[in-house]
Amino acid sequence: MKTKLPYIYAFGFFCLGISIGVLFCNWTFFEIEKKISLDSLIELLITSIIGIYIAKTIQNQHSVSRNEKDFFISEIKGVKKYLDELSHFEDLNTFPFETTKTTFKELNQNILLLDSLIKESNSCKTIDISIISNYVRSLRRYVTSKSPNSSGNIILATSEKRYVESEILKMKKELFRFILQINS
Amino acid sequence: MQTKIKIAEDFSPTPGARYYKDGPFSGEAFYDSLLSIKFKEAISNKEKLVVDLDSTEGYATSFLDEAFRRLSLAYGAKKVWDNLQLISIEEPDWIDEIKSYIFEANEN
Repeated sequence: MKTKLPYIYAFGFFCLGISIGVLFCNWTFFEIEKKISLDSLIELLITSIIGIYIAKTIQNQHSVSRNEKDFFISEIKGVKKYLDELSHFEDLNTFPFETTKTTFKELNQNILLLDSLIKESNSCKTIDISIISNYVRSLRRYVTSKSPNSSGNIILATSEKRYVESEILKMKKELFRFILQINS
Repeated sequence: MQTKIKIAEDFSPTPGARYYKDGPFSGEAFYDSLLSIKFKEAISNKEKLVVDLDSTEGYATSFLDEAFRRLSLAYGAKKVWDNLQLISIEEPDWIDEIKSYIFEANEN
């Protein structure tokens, strides 16, 4: 399909050329002067250059902004992966002590990185990542303040499990809200 | 030379939970074998004890809470906080957490 496109364009331009030719030869609505003043020529050139410059700049700005937004969305999805891991432990009601510690550390570091990048960004400055860091800090304290059992797992009571589930859900909602905010 | 503890090197890269009964490298073990001894040493040398938290596989709240809560109960929250310098570049929020463990210990 891609290889046919240039031929379609060429055919289109060919037809357009013929139409313009017919218009100017047979119809006498327009009068074309054979001379052009220097002022008009300079004005025409300057207008054309400004037009091209504006079009290019806006296109570049739009492209940079889109790339930046896509980057932040993929980073936010990266954070969500750690929450999915914690959700999995919560589903099983088995938080392996060592893995849980490491997951919280990696989650925390990713949020920290995201926070520093957002501060430097142009199009995503309005995102307040501290909402998520506060949730993580609170959840880490809640889960890892408990002692592991003899198998090296933290097991929660039913009410505690429900609390963890709701906190993870709140964080996921916040992340989804961030993505909507970035795309708006 | 400054009195310093780098937990990952001087104690364990995988710090455990709260009590001895919870398994190896507990907060209790850290307090007994290192933290209280080094803190005493720093105080007698009239310097701050530097505790570097980086380069481990991560911490459980129970580990840090137990170790620093015990230190706070032994010396008093203000004395501990004034004579402690915490380093945590990887997870800076642990510094505020530890501060809260130190001051909460004396409230209970």
